[in-house]
Amino acid sequence: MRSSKLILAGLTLAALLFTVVGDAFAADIKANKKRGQVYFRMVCTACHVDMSGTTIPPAGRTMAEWRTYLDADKHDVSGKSNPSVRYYLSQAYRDSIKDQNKAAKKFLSVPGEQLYADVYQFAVTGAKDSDTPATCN
Amino acid sequence: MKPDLPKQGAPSGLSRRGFLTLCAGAGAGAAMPWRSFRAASRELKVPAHSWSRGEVIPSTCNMCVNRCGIQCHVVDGVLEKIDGDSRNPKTAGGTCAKGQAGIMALYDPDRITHPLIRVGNRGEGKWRRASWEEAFEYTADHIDKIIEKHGPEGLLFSSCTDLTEVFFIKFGKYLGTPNFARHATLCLASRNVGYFATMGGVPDADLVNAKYILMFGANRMESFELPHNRDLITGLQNGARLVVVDPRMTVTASKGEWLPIRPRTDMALTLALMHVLIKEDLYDREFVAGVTTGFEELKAHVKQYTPEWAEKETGIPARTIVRMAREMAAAAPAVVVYPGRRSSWYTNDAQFRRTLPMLMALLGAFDTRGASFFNAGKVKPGSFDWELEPVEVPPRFDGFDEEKFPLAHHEDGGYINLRDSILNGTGKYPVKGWMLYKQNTLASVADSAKTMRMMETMDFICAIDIQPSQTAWMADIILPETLYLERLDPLWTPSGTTQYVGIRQPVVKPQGEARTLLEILQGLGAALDKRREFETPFSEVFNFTMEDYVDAQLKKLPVDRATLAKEGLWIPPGQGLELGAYRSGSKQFKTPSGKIEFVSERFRRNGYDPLPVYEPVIEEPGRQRLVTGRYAWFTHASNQNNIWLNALHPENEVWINPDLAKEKKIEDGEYVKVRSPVGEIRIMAYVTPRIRKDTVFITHGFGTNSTGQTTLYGKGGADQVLMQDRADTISNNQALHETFVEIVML
Repeated sequence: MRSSKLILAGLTLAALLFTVVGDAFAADIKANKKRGQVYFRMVCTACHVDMSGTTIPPAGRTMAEWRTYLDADKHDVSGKSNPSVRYYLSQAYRDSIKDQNKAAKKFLSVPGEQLYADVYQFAVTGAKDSDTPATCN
Repeated sequence: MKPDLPKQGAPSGLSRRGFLTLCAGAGAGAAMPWRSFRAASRELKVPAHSWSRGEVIPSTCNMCVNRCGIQCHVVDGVLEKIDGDSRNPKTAGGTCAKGQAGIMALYDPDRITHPLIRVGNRGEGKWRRASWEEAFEYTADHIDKIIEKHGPEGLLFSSCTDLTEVFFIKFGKYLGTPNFARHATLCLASRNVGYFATMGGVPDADLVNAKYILMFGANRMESFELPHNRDLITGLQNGARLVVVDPRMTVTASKGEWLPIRPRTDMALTLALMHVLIKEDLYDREFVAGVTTGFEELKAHVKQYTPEWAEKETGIPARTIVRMAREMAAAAPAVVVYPGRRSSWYTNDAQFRRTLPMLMALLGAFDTRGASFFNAGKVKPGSFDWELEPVEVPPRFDGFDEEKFPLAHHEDGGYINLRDSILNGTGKYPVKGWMLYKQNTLASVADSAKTMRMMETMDFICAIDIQPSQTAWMADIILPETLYLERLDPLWTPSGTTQYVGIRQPVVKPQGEARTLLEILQGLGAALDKRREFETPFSEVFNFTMEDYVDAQLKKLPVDRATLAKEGLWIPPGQGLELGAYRSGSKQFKTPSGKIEFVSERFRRNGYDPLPVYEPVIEEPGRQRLVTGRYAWFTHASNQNNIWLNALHPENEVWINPDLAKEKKIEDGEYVKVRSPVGEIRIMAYVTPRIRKDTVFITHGFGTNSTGQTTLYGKGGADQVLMQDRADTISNNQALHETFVEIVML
């Protein structure tokens, strides 16, 4: 019982550190909204349409909801896909789809955290309560 | 003395024989350079015999932006007649004077049908004919030099709305410039910003079923709204009450109750109407409680704006304002508070436009029959699979961004801000090349002299156009584009209550050597590819045909290109509006609260008044406020040189109230001088009680400086010469009704 509590505490701390470090790291990165937009629309939207037939427009959530979602880094809890959002922004993922996806190929060399910051900015600034709500097309 | 009635389309009196005579005469003075090009235009095929039906090809009109369905009668490769397409659910066989005069846009002897390179001074009208190969090399050379010195961001791309505009914009993006200027900020940007802040978008209107229609300045009967006019006329036949608020009695105003409001006080009226609705408990409590936010703040805010106060501001009697509010409440929710289109009036336009959906919301006049509604669109053409655009692009040179105009559409730019940045030297970096696509900036942006000075700062100006417009006349090279009757365009779907996919297709071969915009950009791109390496070569980006583009749009639709070409349109099954989702709460508005916001969060957080605050009008004694607008047979500044349309109305006039005319001793039909702080023009007086004494009206698009526009040159005066460069403070939409002028006898 005690050990499981320790593990849980450790995991929580690790998650917290990851979030803090991730945010701090992301804060140092100058996001490129345009690149985030292209990646979001050409990779995220394309995959969601293929997999579920639905889109995930930035304007479908509020700014706070996008921040919570992206900060939590929980892509999917169903087990049908990778649970991490970051995975889908990683170079490894882009490498795996580069032959089928122009955007993945074009941005292959962009560091994962940079692309994360790019998509983060596009999603948040395109949220439904933002000044520039964005669609996914 | 002219009859004091709306000027309707009298027969032009120009016979086909007369037209042919004019064409033949066009080449008479070949000594002048431009004349020689006009002489060359005699090669153009023109109708030479009586009209017969011939082959009938369906297509889509482009004489204005409304895209009516047309049927083109072609005999031996010559277009002889344009009719409306009776199968089109919006236009139902109707077409207007402009639509029928498309023939004369096609066979216009002034039309540019070969590339022209300037040989004299800018605007002098001396040109030499060039091959397309030379034209591409010449243009690419100049673009390359600008990129070499200033980077691709040293180029500005200006365009007017069209189905093909996407190619022009894409070309600029692949080139790597962030600097674009589009039509919206000369037209409806302030409306878009106001509505967006209040309810997340601009709604359509169910005019057919409306019981009460309120229009501020919107002159649909004389503008380019033929399809919508069918809705409006049907609505009026169904018994709708129409109230038009306008300092000038337009044809639209003549169809209902005309309220000749004192200019720039429209917001006083809307605030007072809201005051009455709330004070008399006439508003829709259920709608307000369920779908809006900020009502209590609004209630407190409009308490000060009484009808009696509004009477002093607007000149509209308080009892009329109270009556209007009661009539609207009685008709609600089947009320349309019409958004309007050309909202480029005043410096507080976005705030005024915000009050329109606020009034609509108090009446609960949304998302129900006879009211305003959002149309999601049941049919959408698919997307073309473009190569990826560059993403490492510098910021705009003019600071038209989140910091300066946070709620504006930044990619559209703002002409007033843009021009000032160039002339005042406040731009972040120099812009020295100007690519224009059918954008007649000299005729469209307030203070033409200033625009001329801006043009003088440019190292290179390239105009892609059909006719020698004022602006094209100032270019270094003109690249002639095909007319809408000669080309296949991207597919489109209309807004409003009817849904279909329309096609615009070639009905005749291009005149002279005119090329489609896509072909022009392909040629120019190939020439640029030879000079430097772009992130994605143009030969890869524009490596497709229009047929490929249209086929991509059709990929997910159950209709093919051949069927569309034969039928002219495709109507999906299951027409009809789906209403009620917003009222029930199952759909949310694209606002921060998800509701219609009386108190705008977007305005608040960006430092603007979150509730519309009325600004008292400052007038200039002894001067009149200048307002502008259109007649039914002209669109923007694009077809005043059309022989048939010009015959309907050869020159424009300044509308003057009889009392003012008496004071100034001006007779109807007499030529007068109109003077403003930035310019003056000579123009004929039209003395009419259809305008307030404190206001004068001049229609747009006359007074060209281009001697290439031989039908129009020397006729009338240009409103833009007189207008001062004011702009809406939130959207930077130019404000065309902020200039005071003096009428002087010649």
